Amino acid sequence: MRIKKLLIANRGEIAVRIARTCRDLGVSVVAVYSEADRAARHVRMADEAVHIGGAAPNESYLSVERILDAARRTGADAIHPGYGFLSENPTLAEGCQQAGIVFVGPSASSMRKIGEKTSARRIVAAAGVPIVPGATGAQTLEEVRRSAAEIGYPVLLKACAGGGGKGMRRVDSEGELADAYRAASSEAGTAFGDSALYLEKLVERPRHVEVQLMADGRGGVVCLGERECSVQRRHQKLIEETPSPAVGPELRAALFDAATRAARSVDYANAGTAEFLLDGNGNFYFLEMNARLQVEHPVTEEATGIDLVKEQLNVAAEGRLGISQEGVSSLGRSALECRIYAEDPYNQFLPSIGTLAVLQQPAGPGVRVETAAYAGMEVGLDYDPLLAKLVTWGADRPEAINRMRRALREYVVAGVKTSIPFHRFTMEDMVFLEGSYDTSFVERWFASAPGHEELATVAAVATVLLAARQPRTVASSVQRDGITSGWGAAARQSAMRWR
Amino acid sequence: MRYWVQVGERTFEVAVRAGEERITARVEGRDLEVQLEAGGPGQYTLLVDGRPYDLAAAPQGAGYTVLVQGVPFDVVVQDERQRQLSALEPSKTKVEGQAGIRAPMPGRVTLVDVTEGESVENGKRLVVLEAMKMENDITAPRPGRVVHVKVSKGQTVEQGQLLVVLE
Repeated sequence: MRIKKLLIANRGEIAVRIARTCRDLGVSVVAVYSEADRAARHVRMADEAVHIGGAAPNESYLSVERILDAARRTGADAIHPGYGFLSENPTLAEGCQQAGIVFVGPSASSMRKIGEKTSARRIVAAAGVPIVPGATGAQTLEEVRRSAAEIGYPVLLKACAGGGGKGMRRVDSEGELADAYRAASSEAGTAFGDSALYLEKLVERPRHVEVQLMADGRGGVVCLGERECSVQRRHQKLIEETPSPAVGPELRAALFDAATRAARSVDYANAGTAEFLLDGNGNFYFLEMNARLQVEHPVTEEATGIDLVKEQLNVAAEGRLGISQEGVSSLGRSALECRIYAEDPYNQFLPSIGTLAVLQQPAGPGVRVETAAYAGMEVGLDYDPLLAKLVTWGADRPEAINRMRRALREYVVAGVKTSIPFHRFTMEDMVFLEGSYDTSFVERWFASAPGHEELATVAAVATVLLAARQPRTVASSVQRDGITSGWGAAARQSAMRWR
Repeated sequence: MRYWVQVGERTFEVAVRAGEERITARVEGRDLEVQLEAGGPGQYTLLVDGRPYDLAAAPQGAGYTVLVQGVPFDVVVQDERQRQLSALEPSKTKVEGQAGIRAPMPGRVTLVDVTEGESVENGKRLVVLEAMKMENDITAPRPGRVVHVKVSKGQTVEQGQLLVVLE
């Protein structure tokens, strides 16, 4: 069959991204939107739009019923879930099947097998994929104590249903174990409705490398290269690049083999990403499979020249892959993504809200911007703080980085704080430029002391001149409380988590 | 005209003289020839002795956030009159021995974990804030007794807003 009308069960930049490929393919687009998204760009881009409820995600984008209802009412023949929200929820995949609607993603049963972390570990380990030493099932505190003694500290407590670093605790000695277990368990219970935990050996200062794959659900798997995702804060990615500076041809072949085995072990279909931890000695361990299109997929698209959303629709509709492993052999390009978050990098990357008073996007050779933001847009508390993804590519890594530097210089966002200053720092940092960074990279930013003495003087003079034009700039008191930034407040970090 | 400009944690004194042809700003003992040109809403070019700086500005609290070549600064400007007025305001010095716990980010209060009168240990969770899918535990920076709880569950708070007062 051919998909004629696609409902996008998402919002923000990814909804815009998916709608673009639909336009290219002549597929008509149904958008859904919450109360907070009436003016959103993904709604403007659609052929039809359905209001599905309140601003709170569980009243709209997380409601399987309302999404399915919108699809039935508009006669959509397929649903693309994007990432986040319902993308890895087997109930939506099942609901689609029952309603005779194509779900653009893996089957509900694959999702269940690969989505629960301990069962995933069991299944892929049986298929010959290396996993981090540790348990393959939920453990009581006593069981955890015994395993930890066996594999040796430091260890990591993880939520069975977890993701995004929630319900996760590093434990350095047996004395800390009981408290950490209680804290992680209660966090997991609140976050996922499941407080079960298990234990893994902690890999110190690892790198995060993932393999993008496309599969047909019948054993056909094509690997589209790896992505290096070690630049993170709070276990969430900030920068991704391909190829990984840490991966040579031999390791790449081994990673592709492991990713293929993992996908086959659950009859995986559609786009997926196998995530691995890489230690300093070239050992790698399967972490999890992300059963959806990833935020950072454009990095792979620009390196390979393949439109992943187009391939997703193709596999979902036809049940077979439109690409072959031989055909993929990358263009030999390097590509890089910086995530532009509405967060203040000078204040622990905490969320920043406001109106986008100024928004000037970069452009030019080798530059792609994925965003749903527009000047004047309100950035509120309800949704993910991702404002935009800035992707650059080049014939090699230095060219991609030079273009990223140029693009970041052109990027102007005022009205909310953004991660742009962090990215500008990173693109000049020796450790990043050498490619020898690991998941502790962000500490280099916290340790740097940006003086910007000259620019501060310019800011002072400029604001005085502005004040002379616009009386409102002159204020009578300083309201902002001095929140100390810097790594001294590291303790704060452990108190933050995603939900 | 003289102005006092707070840029982050620094304060600059800036004296501006507007001549017929040009504007001179005296800052930190240096005379700079300056010219500000608007280039679209919120965007400006500041020429300082002939060197262009790319600027963007947006209102923020009592002042502005100004980006200079992409680097953000929180800036508040006072003229002479306002400076004198603010000097007359009763000082907001803290009550001896009390500590105000403030919101490190804007957000929604999803949990208040203490009651007034309660004694808390160092590190005790006081309030949970949530914004943009991120939860943030606000904990006691030291042991003490909770004198005031200034927020309640479901309330939206601004960055820097007072949450709890410890004694």
